[in-house]
Amino acid sequence: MSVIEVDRVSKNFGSLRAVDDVSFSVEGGEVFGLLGPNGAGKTTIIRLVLDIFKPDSGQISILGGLMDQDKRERIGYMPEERGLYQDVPLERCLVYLASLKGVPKSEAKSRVQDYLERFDLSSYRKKQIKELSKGMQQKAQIIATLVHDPELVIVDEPFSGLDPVNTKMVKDILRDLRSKGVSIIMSTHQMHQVEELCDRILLIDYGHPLLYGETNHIRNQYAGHTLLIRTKGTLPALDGILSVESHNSTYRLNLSPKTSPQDILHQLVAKDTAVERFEIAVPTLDEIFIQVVK
Amino acid sequence: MTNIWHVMSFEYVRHVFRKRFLFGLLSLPLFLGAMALVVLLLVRSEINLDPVGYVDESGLLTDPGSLAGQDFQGSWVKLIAFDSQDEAQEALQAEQIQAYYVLDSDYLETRQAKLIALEAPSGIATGRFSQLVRANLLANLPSEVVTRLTQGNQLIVRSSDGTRQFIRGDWWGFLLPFMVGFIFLIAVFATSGYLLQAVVEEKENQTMELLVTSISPLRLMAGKILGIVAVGWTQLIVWFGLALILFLFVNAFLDITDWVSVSLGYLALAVVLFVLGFIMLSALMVAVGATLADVQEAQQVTSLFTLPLFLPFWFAFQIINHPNGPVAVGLSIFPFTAPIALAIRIGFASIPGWQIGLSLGLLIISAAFAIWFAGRAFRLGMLRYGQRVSWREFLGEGKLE
Repeated sequence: MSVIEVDRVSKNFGSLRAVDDVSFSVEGGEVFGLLGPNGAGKTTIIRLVLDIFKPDSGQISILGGLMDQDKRERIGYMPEERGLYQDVPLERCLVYLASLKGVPKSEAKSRVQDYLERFDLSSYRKKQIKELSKGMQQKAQIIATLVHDPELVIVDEPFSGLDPVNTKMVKDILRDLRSKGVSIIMSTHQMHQVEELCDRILLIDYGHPLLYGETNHIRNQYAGHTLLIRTKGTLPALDGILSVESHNSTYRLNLSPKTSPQDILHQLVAKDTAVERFEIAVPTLDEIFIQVVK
Repeated sequence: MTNIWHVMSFEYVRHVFRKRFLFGLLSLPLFLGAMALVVLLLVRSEINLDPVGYVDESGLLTDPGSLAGQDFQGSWVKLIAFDSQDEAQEALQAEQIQAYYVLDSDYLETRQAKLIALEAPSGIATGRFSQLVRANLLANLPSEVVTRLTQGNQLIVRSSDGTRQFIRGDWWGFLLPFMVGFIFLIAVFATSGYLLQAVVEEKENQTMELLVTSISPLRLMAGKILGIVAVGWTQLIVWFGLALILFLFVNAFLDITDWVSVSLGYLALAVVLFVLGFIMLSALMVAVGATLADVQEAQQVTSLFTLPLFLPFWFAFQIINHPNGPVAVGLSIFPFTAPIALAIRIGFASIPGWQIGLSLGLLIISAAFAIWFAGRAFRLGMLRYGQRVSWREFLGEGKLE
């Protein structure tokens, strides 16, 4: 069942068309990647989904209907620009944000204490947030996103400004949430993170959708005309090749449009070449991104 | 409703336990106390309270201590009788007295008394001696008559319907309406600034985005406004408490209970006016904070609706002299000036019920409109980081709902 359905949504700010006829759905328990270069309209789409902005046209359904207070309490949101009260003690700030999400105050206190211990922040609970390091503030923001056990988590650029240790921590948390059946929307422009985490993606640019579907399926769509081959000895001369690059005894063959990988395999067998590796090169999302967002 | 309560209590605690709030809370009474002390010291340094002597050659004056129950030997300026002008002159030269009077033997015929002093004596000293002479001249009359003649009449001006009265010389009745208005003004300025700053800060540090995905903007704003109204009232209650302590302290030494009285009806009306005024102004502060880009700009714009608060003070003479004139009536109906103007006006005149009703009604409508206005501004402006909302967007082009 879809937790989010966005149907032909558009949004203008003055003369700027920030979102242009975008449709997608997010299924229960999946990690959905919302991708695009900076300024593509990712954050605007998230704000439309969260009912911060109203669309100029189109329909949005979240958790089975229009946004209301009950649904707000079932969603965890981590904005790109982290927003916590800088001059308020950490624990009070988190308990307040949890109580706004409908968690009773005593329960919120106990949950926040558990999270602070889990994230090694319990000794900082009385400190004002501005006194914490960036990594600690990031952890605090994650606690604020998850403390009310949301069914749907929306994270906007979750890895920006994080060191490798905290990046791994965030990834582990997202995987853990997925294993518990929580649906996640992740907006990012860091493609390698998407490859690792996202089941499906929507790639947008200038507010317009460019690619939409399963991550692996999209990568396979862009595969097929590049081969990675390693042979014992020198690679024999082959027909239907546009160019050959050699790197660490592996050859990267760019095939002409009329040549299929099977044609190359037949030629290698016919020439009695000992093949150690024969792989259709699937492009990285980075490569697809660059190719599509030109 | 629970969410509104959470927002309200969070905002309240956040502001009340700040050093800035405590400083603001204590600075007004400390400032007024320091001012009063300075004035007292200045006055005291200008007034000579040394004793005054007199030489009675007319035989009219008897022992001042036993005259008609009046204390001429009290703590202020003491009166000392001398047998001869030489003795009095000696005391004057020795600076034991600031001056002495001489009543010649033919005083009753001439009505002339002599004053001998090194410098002009204080008004208190001359008043004291006049009282002594009057009390002696009236000594044969019953004491009640003497008291009435020496203290004069108490003129009470009462409205024809009997609902209002004003006692001549009642400084408290005159001062109270202005004090009430002034305290409201200070409270509004002190606390609404917190709200404005809080909203602009939330916008700047982007906490707003997190908040509006947890609670609807209208509820968030209602909680914030109620929180800041509670902060304002905390301030007023603390000031009122300090004033009460001061009153009890002064009352222990000087019985001022008869001078200082407040009608409960007046107090109730002032409270209602101030709550409504506070809500209206706080909501407008939110609207400005949400639509403008930074604190400085926001403060400039808020002066547009905080300046009218001063109008009743500028037109104070018109309100006192013509409390039912067009200026006073207009100011007490216009929502921005109504809380203070009505509170002042009602201290000096009997006001028709329909005018109070109209004033309160317009304030309620204005407060409700201000909340709606703030809600719209909030939705439009809350996520415009570093940008202001244009009037065109505000007046209808911005799609909200």
